[in-house]
Amino acid sequence: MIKTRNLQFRYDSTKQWSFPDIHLEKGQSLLISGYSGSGKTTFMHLLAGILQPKFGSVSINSTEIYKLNQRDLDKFRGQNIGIIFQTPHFVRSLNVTENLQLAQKLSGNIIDGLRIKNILARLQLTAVSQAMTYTLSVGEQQRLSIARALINQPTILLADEPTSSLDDHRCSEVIALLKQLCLLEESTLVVISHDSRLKPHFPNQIEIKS
Amino acid sequence: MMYWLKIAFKNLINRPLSTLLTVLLLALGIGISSFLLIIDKQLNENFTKNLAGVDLILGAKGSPLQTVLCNLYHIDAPTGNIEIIKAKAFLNPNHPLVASSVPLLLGDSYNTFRIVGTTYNFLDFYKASVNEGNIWKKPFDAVVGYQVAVKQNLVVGSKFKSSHGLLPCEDKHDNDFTVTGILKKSGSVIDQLVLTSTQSVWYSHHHENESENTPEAPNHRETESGMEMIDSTGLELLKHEERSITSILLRFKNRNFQTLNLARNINDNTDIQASNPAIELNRLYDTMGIGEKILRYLVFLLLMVGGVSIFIALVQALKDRKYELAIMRVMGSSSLQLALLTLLESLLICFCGFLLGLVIAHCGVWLFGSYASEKYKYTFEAWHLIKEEGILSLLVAVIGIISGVFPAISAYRTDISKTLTQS
Repeated sequence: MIKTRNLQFRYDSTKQWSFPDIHLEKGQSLLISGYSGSGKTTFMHLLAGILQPKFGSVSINSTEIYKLNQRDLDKFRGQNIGIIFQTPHFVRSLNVTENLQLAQKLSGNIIDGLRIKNILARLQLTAVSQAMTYTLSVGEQQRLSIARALINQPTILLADEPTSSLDDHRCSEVIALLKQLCLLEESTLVVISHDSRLKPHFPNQIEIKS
Repeated sequence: MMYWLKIAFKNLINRPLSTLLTVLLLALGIGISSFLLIIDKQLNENFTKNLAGVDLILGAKGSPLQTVLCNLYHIDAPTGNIEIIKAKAFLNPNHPLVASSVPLLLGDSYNTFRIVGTTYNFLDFYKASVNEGNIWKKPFDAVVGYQVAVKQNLVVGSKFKSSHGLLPCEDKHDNDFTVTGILKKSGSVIDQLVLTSTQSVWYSHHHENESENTPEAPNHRETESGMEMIDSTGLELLKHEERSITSILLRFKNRNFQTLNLARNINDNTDIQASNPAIELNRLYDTMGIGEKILRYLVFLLLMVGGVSIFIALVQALKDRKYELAIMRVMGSSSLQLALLTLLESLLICFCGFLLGLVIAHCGVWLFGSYASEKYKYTFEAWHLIKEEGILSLLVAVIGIISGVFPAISAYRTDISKTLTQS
């Protein structure tokens, strides 16, 4: 579960954001919407433990993540937070399976070939398991980035604009897939998007206004 | 660790051209330095070995350096001959200053390999021994060096004709030499020589002189057809004091002012020239030393360029991969891990460059060696590692660390959030 309190951030003195407190239990999902430039991505980075807030706290599984030292925060992030970025990026010199192995290794877990096989099968990537990532189609790349985000069974899965480049049909498909997988992996799903098509899919929603 | 080595390796072969260029530049620097080190070391060893502890060389007047090169290294042509009668004191084993001496008679060859008319002392000077067969006992018996036997396919019992001068195309003499022995491989110039008695050389020339009816001719025909004696020591050689030899190699009992005076005396007061090989060689080194110095600077420059090219390659790679690094941080990697991975890539390039450099160097020595053994009667051992290469490997590691450390720091400082929003 994830809980934030009184989160504030500023890059410089001219612009400052204050973010609403959120509180999500295991298995719940949340849509964070807002216009471009509203600070959505900043909010996501704060939740992901990759951007130190000026004030406030983020606690995941009762751990206040910004009270950890840098090395422990890195480890905590690898173990508990899965992130799907707007544009998928992988380690170019490694193939699909090796990228997932790297995600397991970096989080401090052991490399578990069976887990990788299962998750690739679930995301229909078995056929390309040995392919280099840059040879995959856009859809395959997105599914691989979902697989990578979920490989370590994170407490919370953050997805940044996962549907912005998809048509209506694919959009519903991807959201259904994400929700289904999070249910399966017992992860809390947080989607950050300005895509209004997503609104019907989420009972919990907040809007960021700057 | 193995896992990170694998990742580093994959990162390197993912940009093959840049990696290849960097490795090649480094290998060139390492290859040339290693090549120079090996050649320098073996050249010195060879020179010392060929010096054979000779303190002074007595020969005809001429260039002292030429005397040394001709009589010790068998590169240059002889300066001329000296009459035995004029140098007879030095062939006498009872000379107060001389520990031992050996006469040389040069001028003939067999397919570019020099024929040396000498006494048994020659083998002691070079610590050589007969491996197969026996030492020469009669005129036209010959003992050949290891390389001569190998390159000319000679075995004990083989026969060959000598020719006058040092080139194979010059006039052949009539007499057949018989190989009676083959020397053990020594690595010194003796491997490339044909050894025989002074008589063999005198008689080959004497046959040609026969028609000219020189006064000595009848006398020697008699000796030849009769006892077939050869001179195996300097003392025996004194019986032929009217004959000529090319030079005498001397070892002194002690080196002191008396021996210095002796050399000066010979040079000032006789027709003979005394050349000190150590002095002549130092003079030669001094002249060649400039070229070697320039080469050393060049090698240093090449190694620097290699280091800089690693630096540039890594910085460029990190620029291309900065998103990758940020993603790795997101997945739980620490800053230190990324820095070490970058350093590992640098060291891996250095390691490959070092190995390739050694291959280049040793193949180079092998090529150079096969050329030099024909041209300069030198043999080089190409496939032995030398301890200087161990030192070189440390130097390369230092280059790897220095050129990898700044990219590593920049990897360490990757700001995840900023990098990800800049995409």
